[in-house]
Amino acid sequence: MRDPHVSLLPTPEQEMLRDTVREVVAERSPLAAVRQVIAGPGDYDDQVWLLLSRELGLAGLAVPEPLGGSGGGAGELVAVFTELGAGLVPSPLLACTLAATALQVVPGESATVRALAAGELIASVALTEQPEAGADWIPPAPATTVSRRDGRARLSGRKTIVLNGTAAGVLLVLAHEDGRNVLCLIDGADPGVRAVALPPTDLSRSLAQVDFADVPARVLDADVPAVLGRIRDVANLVLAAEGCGALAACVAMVSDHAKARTAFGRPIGAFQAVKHRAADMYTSWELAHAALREAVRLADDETRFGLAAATARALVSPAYLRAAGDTIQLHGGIGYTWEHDAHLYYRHAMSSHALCGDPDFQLSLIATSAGI
Amino acid sequence: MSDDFRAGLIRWLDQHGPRARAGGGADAEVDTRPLAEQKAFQAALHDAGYAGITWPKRYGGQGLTNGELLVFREVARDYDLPVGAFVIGLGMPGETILECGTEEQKLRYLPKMLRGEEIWCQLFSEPGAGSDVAGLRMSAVREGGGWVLNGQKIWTTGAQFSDYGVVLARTDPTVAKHRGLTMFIVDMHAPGVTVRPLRVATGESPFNEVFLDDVRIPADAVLGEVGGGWAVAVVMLRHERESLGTIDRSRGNPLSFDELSAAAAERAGSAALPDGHRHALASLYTRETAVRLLGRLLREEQQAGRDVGARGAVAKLAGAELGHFAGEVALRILGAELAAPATPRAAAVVKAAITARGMSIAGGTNEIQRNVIGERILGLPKDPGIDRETPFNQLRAGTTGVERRN
Repeated sequence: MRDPHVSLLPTPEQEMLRDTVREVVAERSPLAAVRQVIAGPGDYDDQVWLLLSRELGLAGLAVPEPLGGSGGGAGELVAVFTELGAGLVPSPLLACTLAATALQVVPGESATVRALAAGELIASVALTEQPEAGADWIPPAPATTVSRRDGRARLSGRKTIVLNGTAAGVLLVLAHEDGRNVLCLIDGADPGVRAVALPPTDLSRSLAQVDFADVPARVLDADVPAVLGRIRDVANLVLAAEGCGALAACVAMVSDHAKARTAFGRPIGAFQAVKHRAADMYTSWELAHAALREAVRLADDETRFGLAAATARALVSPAYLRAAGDTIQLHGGIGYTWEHDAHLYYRHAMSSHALCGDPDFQLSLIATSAGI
Repeated sequence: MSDDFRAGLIRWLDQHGPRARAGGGADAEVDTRPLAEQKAFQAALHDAGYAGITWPKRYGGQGLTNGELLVFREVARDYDLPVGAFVIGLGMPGETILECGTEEQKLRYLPKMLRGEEIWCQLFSEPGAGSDVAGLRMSAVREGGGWVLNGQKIWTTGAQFSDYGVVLARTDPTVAKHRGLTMFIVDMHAPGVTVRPLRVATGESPFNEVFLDDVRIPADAVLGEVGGGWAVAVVMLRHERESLGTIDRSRGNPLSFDELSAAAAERAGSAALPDGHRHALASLYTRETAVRLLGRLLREEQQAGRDVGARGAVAKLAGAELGHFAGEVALRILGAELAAPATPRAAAVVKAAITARGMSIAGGTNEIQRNVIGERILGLPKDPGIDRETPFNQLRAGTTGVERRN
């Protein structure tokens, strides 16, 4: 029996989960289908989301069993998001996972968590206020404000870069109230909520700006810094997994092309200018992947998980961005066309680089955690 | 099982092993501690049950698993064990004899190697054959019942104190270069063996040139098959990559995150570190951590019975690149001090930064590792090459063209 707190390797069950998600992605959400979603009006394919969230139970993956989930942990999340990243599958699972991560530690929110775990509700977290998603993705002094009238809390302000903000039935909002930061829950269908889709760099990712005009709010009985820290760390873990999966997909695309494409009388992969760049892409994946496995191993260690997750993310983000750029380069002209999938990955890599804390944000966090 | 092993090991090392220190021997190119001290320590290590952990008991090993080996390597990272003289022998010739040797060879050589009684080196590279090691010229000719060797080897670590060497030589120059090679075990004390120190860029002489002039060796000194030397060399090179790639850098490395952070803090005094330095150090932390974790992951996969294939090349390349990056971070942190190092710490950093340039050449250059990764992991085609089928004696090899005159 492999002890997940000791070993870097996934359990057989986690490998099976990964294989299942990989098959579902290949069958139901190949890149041709992703392009149809991108060209269409919706943020994601409802049927694919139903399959992922309910039939496969991924919406409740990391929710404890008493709250209606399957009680999985970081290893399960990483297995799933690696494959969703590899396939650039548009889905609100990232938004829902971050919301569920936060809400499951807040007393009195079990009904919302149950609805999330059952795949009956889409939720998101609304933290960022400036368009820059880097250092301020969690603003220390949010301008969004909670005020009380007749003892009832109401929220006003503007949030941006909100994942699946237009589809969210519930929003977890970071706001300011009487000299302290609070987290509150907002009904996305309230008439005072106005969500506008933002033009996304990554065409597979839906982002919104959300305005709140005197909206009824439920202020949570939460340790705000602790919950925000948890959101930050899980976002790092999950985005590192997505990026690792997508980076591996880029390496596979480049290898296949370098074997099939012939120039100057031989497959271009025989030329060291191509071969060495592909080898560097693969090496960057191995390093990022090893760091990701360490973050999984330490996920239940409250004192070490944050540093491990930030380390994985700080390695994945730049490695994936470079690899996605190299994927275009090594395909030559065809890689620069709209029809080729390389730019979908490059866009995803740029967006993932910036979302939920860019590498500078991670490096500052790492420096502090590592004691410098 | 493993926990008892770990606890016992820590107890033993705390009693017998020096702790890791700045600029310590474990990451230096050469262990400068007296040979007698190293031999005594290796024998004690063997007596305590910590040498040859995964080797069979009949050859002097402990007959344990990769699990215990993993624990040993992790724990040993905190110590600066005086075993530098044995690293090459145990990691490369030893593993190769275990895999390719005859029963007589294993019984004769492995137990004494494990106890540090006989020290080994490997003789592969030549002045005219580095990355293209199959293009080597060292000749072995049958005479009487044995062989006569002639030629020159270079970059031989530990040749000056080695008792035996494993030497790759050409036994048939009329066939294609990979097919005419044979691996031999040579007595380094035999007449005709001359060892000369080779001074490298750091100013030290961690390597040697070895000249073999009419060195006679017996027929049973062949390791593997006559004409099958390349297959044995591939085994040895695989062990070299694995041992170089999965070595945990000790905490005392002058270019480590810990050491460079201490240097940065020392320079900053009571002031906060500049953001640029903090980010550079944090970036070093992530890369150093990833290289260490990749080594650990590969060992765990091996332990779980999975074939890691050529992924040792990834760890080897990543470790060498880490050294280059750490050298750049050191330049930023130490600034002008690196132009004229006045403190022992700065001097150690300068030396380590120069050593790092050698680490990306030794044991297969970064470029060769990239070929290995591209071809054996990603399955990219080999360069067709014009030399693969041509008889060796019709090839040009080594440095050709205009020779520089002094």
